[in-house]
Amino acid sequence: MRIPCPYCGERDLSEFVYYGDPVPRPDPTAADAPRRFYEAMYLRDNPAGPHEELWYHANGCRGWLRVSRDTRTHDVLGASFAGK
Amino acid sequence: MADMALSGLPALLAAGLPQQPGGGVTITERCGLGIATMQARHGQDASLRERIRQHFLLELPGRPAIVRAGSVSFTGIGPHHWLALSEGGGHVFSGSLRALVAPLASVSDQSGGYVVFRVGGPAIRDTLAKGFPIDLDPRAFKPGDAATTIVSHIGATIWRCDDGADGSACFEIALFRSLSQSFWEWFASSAAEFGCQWQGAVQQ
Repeated sequence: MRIPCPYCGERDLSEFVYYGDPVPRPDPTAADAPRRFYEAMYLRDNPAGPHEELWYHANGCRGWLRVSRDTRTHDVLGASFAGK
Repeated sequence: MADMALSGLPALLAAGLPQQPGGGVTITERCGLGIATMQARHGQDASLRERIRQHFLLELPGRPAIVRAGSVSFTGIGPHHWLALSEGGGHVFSGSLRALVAPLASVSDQSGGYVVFRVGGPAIRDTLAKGFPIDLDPRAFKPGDAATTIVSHIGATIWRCDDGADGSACFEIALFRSLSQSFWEWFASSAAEFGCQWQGAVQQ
């Protein structure tokens, strides 16, 4: 699998670290914050098909990428910097 | 500040490095360089470019590439992030660069942290292809192009220099100084079939 880094160009999977889908951080002041954090940490969707996920280009530009990937085929549908 | 003294010392000592028959690949260490990383602060990219343009008369690359002016070069290693080299600058270079770009960018001295090797020879691409997972074909990686990647589990930034007088390719590779022995072991064994000539550490 190769990931098209917006800065470095297309690079091998081995340069990247996977961080899962970009779930927003729950509100820590909410009354049920422990449950929300538990769900955000452990109860992730696992769709068969297009999936939005975060990858860290650890052995390249050290940028965080938001990658669209088809989990059935590993086709990468797009990648952009997560900060944008 | 022990590493202030390191930039003038070779990371690899020539004694004990084997000279192999054949002249397919050459390697030298660039010693005494001033090395620093520079990262633009939030929203200061344009101002930083202008300041660098006025002082060094060069345009900071917005992509993985090296741009030189005189004895100084800047290599794009990430968004708003550059590796700056100064021939003969030593550790003093980072201080002057920091003062120049304050408060637009952060500068970290890497003179004792990184080592830069220059590699070349007719078989250099065949040698590098054994470790670098990127396309170094002359059509894909032109003089001035750079890439931050990994070689034999060692993080490295590589850029292509102008070809040598004999038409063979020339590259420079920056990596953490503490990993230079590991890099050498990978390089020497990969280059062995072509003949690897260690040409010593060159004081800049």
